[in-house]
Amino acid sequence: MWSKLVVDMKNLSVSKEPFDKEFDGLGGRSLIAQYMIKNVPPDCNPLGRENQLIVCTSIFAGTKVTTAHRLSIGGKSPLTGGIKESNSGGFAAYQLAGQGIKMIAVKDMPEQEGLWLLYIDQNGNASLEDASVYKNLNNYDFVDKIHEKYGDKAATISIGIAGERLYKSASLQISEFSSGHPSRAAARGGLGALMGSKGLKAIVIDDPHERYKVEYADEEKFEELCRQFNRLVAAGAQKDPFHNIGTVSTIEATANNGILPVDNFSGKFFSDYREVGAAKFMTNLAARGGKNKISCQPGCVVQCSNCYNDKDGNYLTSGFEYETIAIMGPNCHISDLDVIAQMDRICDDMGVDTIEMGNAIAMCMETGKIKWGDAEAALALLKEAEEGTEFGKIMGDGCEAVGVHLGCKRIPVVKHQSMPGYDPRNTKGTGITYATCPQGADHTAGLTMGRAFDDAGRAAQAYASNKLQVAICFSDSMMCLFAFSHAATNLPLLAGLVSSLYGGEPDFTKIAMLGVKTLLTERAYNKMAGMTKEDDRLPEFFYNERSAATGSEFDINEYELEVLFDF
Amino acid sequence: MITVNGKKIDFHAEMTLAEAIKQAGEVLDAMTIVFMDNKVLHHDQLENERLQGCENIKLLKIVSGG
Repeated sequence: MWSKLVVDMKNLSVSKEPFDKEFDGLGGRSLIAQYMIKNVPPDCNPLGRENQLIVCTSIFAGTKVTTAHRLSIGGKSPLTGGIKESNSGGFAAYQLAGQGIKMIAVKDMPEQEGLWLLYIDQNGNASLEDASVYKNLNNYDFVDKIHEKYGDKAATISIGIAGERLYKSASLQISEFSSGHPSRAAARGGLGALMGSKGLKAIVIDDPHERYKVEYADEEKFEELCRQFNRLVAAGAQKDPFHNIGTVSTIEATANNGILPVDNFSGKFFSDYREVGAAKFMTNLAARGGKNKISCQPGCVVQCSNCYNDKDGNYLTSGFEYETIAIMGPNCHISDLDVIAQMDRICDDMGVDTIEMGNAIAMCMETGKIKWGDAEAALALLKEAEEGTEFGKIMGDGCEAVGVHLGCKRIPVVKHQSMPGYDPRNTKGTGITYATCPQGADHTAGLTMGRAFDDAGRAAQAYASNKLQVAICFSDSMMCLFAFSHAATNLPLLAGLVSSLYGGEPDFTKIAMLGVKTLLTERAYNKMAGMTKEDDRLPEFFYNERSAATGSEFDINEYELEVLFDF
Repeated sequence: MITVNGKKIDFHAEMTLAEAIKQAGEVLDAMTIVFMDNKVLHHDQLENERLQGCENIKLLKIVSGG
């Protein structure tokens, strides 16, 4: 039977309890939604006692389903003020599953000044340890020290200086399976600040002496379906640019159709996109000894991660992804891939969301604080955030904080969370997702780019966003989106996996209803947190400014957004 | 031997990458990345890229973002 850890930061105690039967069959985003609506008051202060930091694994945790070991972090977001589920790859979910832990709930706040670390040892015993010696340590140094102390097989979930300072852009960084680097990020929504508000520096999960054995309804059936499933995903991955190259390949796909954001979502084309795209990336990897096709978690067949080296062949950063490159690159008119990699490293180390930081830098450029394309000045801004200067603290609170402070008229945020690397005027279904998703402007929640709907009418765009948002809710409960995108061709297989694990007849409608229920629960939570239909809109300038590249504007009206979830 | 997405293609001297893709019956769109022997080629390079006769060409379609 799965366990959950309840961490009481007021009494500095940890208890291990059976995982709640009422949440049986849930995982990841679905678990966070149902847990939060029952246990975390929607009107609570995100950095106060009543908010909880929830860490959980997926519906398929502990099994051999490829990419089953995504880690979901949840809580009321210090950035959006609504429900937040931020998920990540890395080693932690695999080790949590090995320890038989489905969920960790971190509650309340310490009564005294201090910093703690939750350590789960090789026998499954969990305790809070004094982490004051790690105070102000950034993630790379911290993880090195943890690996010196506990060995390379200890997985880490940690915050850097940004989380300790309660920056609204603070991330949780998760150590990667193959390299151990803290380069996988639960980045969106400032949950690193939530962790910091609990006085928690890190969760360290040691390699269990004996791995937890999952209980199956029909183990033999599950194993057979799992083999089929993994083969399906592996076959799809062979033709997937993310496997062959990495997510940077999206640059080549978005650059010529106005989707790649340029100069704070100006809608222009970026003529230097080849300097920051897949071709350049692969050339640099080959010349410098970097590597792609890296699994961030054991058993992943998509292998989209990478290690990127500098021009001298020394390690610079890992998990170097499209979102970071798009928002810190062309969106800031920066065309030097090495500088963007350096920025990625600084953000991972400090523990901040690269999308928030990139958009914050764009705010500085738009308002003339620094020049467009000034990479050195952009690096200096990140350093200010790291040092905690007066302006650096504003940077740390992300795009909207900087934009408002500098008087910017074009702030690309929804529910206070800034937009990722897809201009919604040229992928309108994605824009509908940005506007209506309970998570804020979130590309992973329902990206319609490249599908037939892009050229179709408004109703088709809305249909696509609706269906994808539901699908992603159950995908985020089960596995990595990149594996799901290949598995979506055989949904009965997915239903078979669920039923042979949890029992009952294979029924895909139950899985679909899980997605609907999760989405509606999140929306209900946000409504109780005070959000209204006004929060389900894009910033005004997307409706009024035509994309310079394509002439398109975001012409989805309020009514079309309002009725999106009238199931 | 040249392959395009696993399909064998008849090679001739001076063959370009564009011709090989056309012979394979494949159509490119904005979401398709041309990947040849670990190199990425842009669509406007295909007409000028001469093949040697042993290339493994993959046309990789973006299906999600990340």
